[in-house]
Amino acid sequence: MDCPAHDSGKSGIFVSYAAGTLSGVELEALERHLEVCAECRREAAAQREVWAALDVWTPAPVPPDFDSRLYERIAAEGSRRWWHFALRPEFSFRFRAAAPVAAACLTLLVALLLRAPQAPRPAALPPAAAVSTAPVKIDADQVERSLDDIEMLKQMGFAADGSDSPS
Amino acid sequence: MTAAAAYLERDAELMLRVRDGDETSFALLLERHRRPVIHFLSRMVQNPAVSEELAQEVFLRVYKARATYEPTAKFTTWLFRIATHLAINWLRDRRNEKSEDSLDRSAAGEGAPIQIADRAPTKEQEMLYQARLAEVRRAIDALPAKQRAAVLMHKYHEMGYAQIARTLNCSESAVKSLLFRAYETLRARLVHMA
Ligand SMILES: [Zn+2]
Repeated sequence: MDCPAHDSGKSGIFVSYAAGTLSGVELEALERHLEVCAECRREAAAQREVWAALDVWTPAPVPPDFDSRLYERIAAEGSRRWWHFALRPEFSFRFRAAAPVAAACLTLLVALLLRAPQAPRPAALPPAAAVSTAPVKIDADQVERSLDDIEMLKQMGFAADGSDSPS
Repeated sequence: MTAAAAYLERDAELMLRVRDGDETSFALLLERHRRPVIHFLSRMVQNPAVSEELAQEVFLRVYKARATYEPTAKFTTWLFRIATHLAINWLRDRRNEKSEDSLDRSAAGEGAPIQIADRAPTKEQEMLYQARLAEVRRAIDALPAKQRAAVLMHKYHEMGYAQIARTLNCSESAVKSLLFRAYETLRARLVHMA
């Protein structure tokens, strides 16, 4: 094999060697080369030293209340999902502005539908508020879920190029 | 099927069940992955309170994204991608207000208890060990965030170049280059201590 110490394209071979991830053929070739090249022996030894030095850092234990705190947060997310959306500054304005229009349209639609087959008494109309809030709530839930997803995808760079999916 | 492949398929299967509303499967996923995620983040940010907070955020995001989950690739790649993203953001935001305190504040319980044969370590051995640990932590902390993430995944989570590349959203050759530079820097700082 050519001397990896003098081939910038192969300099990473010592990283793989120390990590123990070289394939059988590559390992055999490198070990044969190490027998005749002092420079590469030094490189390999140094990389192994780095690798061994890092072993000293074992991680901290998992906090005992990690799961319970997470479930509390998940529960809190679930309960605030609906009204949290309405309070979001970036959406509350547009949403609040659109709500009366949506309510008016829905009331008109219901009125027209009820009127079409036979003329109903005005008293048969459901209260406008009751009609308009129910469908809006469902939309808001879906919209917020999508917004959360888009926000995360955007932050993770998926939305930027659109070419990747969570992997 | 190899044991490793079966393990990976199990993750995807569990996540699909979470998507369908099965909370028990989420608990199983948490059981399988919380340790590596916390370990990775604790080495990335070197601040116990922050790493725990970020790890919580990782799993919260997984849970919130369940509705749109598609098993297109390894679950762990996705998990580490979220974790890396959160850690890099936190490091970037902190950079301006960076002080030495987070580094000097040693995380409780970090570092392996040293054992020499059957004897308890001497005070001298313990001090030498603590000095080495501090040096490693400083050396890792001095790496640019992306190099740091690559080294931690490579060294402590046994990830190959391809998986690190998918996690960091870059090419395999870019990962090799990141790792090479990172290990060169670490070597300059650490090799004298072995
Ligand atoms: Zn050589």
